[in-house]
Amino acid sequence: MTTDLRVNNEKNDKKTIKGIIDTDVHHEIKSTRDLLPYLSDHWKRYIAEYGWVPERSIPFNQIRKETKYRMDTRPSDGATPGSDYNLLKEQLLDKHNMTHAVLTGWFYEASVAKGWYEFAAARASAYNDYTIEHWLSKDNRLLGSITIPQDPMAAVREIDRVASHPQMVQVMLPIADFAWGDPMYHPIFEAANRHGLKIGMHLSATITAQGGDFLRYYVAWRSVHPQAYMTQTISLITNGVFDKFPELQVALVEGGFEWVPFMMHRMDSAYKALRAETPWVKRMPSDYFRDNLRFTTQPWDDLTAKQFMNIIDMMGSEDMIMYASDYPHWDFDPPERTLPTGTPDSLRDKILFENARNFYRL
Amino acid sequence: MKHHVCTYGDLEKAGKIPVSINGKAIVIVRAESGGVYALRDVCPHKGPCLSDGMLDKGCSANEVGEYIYEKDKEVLRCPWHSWEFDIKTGKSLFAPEKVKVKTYEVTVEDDGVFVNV
Repeated sequence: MTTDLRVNNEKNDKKTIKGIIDTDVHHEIKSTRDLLPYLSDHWKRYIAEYGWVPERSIPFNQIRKETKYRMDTRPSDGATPGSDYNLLKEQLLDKHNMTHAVLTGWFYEASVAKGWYEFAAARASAYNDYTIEHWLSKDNRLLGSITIPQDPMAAVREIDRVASHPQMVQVMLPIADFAWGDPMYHPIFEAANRHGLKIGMHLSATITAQGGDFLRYYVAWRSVHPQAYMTQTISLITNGVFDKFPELQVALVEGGFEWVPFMMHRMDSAYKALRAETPWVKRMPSDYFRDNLRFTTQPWDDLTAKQFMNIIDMMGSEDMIMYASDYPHWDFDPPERTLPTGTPDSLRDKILFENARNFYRL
Repeated sequence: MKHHVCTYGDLEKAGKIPVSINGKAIVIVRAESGGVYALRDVCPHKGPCLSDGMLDKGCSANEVGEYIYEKDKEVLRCPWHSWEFDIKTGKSLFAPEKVKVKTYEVTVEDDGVFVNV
């Protein structure tokens, strides 16, 4: 299913590439009222009559119009950026010749909410139904992520309910202030694996870092995000998730990749000495990185081609990184301007297209 | 060569106006003091039109926890990654000598705004 597309790189020289798959697109609801058609009469009342709104856990606001959104993504009717399919289609799918775009949503609160898991499960289900009806059914290029509540049994029921949808490709585990590798969450991995789904992990508004709560400023909080992604990868590997489910693969989205070679080497080094503490981990940690974990490009940290190729070399694989735009968020990276001039064409093809096509089996 | 790009009255209302001169995308900006400036309308980072961004003010500090609102430092902020460019010099605030957008000479005659390209 390759297509012949042309993109401009920074010097405007034309290169023929096979396609583009965007692995991080945030479609949104206009308001929680969009969920009402999919909630039972009992839960509807909390939104329609009792004024329930999601808890706002992030204390920051940026000094810019539209704060977390690209300034040109608000629909003309004033609705939430990312909530209008036609505008998303125009600004992202059509403008950038996307072959596929993975909807990662922005309703992670249902997955990271503390307590009252019954309502969280109802909201997650409603959000999945909204995604199917208002997004996936409108465009075959769009692929979906299953939103789940944190309660493992309820999460498994939700995965079993919607996994058969042909455009649902992964289960979304938002990164917050707990580690998903803990054995209590393994039924979620079992369910995803049983349905042939991937796992996506993306930062939520409650992402924190080991060794501290929220840092004082947005710029500090954003800079520390990779630390929380490190926590998740270490948790998954040391808790034996990939020994239990060798075929399971996880995409760590929007957490950077520059730190990956560092952690591969650091974990290997620790494993050589401390293996006996986690004897259920059968392989060198870097093997799980290469076989079971994938990382995405956005936010691109303005690396040169030489710096980037050094990282690829230290990873020992060209297959671990997938393109992501983060549309409609402010730090959007377009596919034509993500990889630096000088990136070899074959690697460009892999990152923009092949790696995600293989990962999601498209 | 001088090109008429808009009226001063229109610019006063809009604050910034994107124009195209010989295929070059240029954004005309009016400072609050009334001065008019012209900058290349392409962010050197990832390429969106700076005219889709916003006019904003500077902010500085001499010590931790201080916020000095710089009313006279007017910047054009990119719609995507928020990079700030001084509207008078085109220089970025984070690396003024390394990262900048081209500026053009502007004249105002009667109600007409002219850019020299």
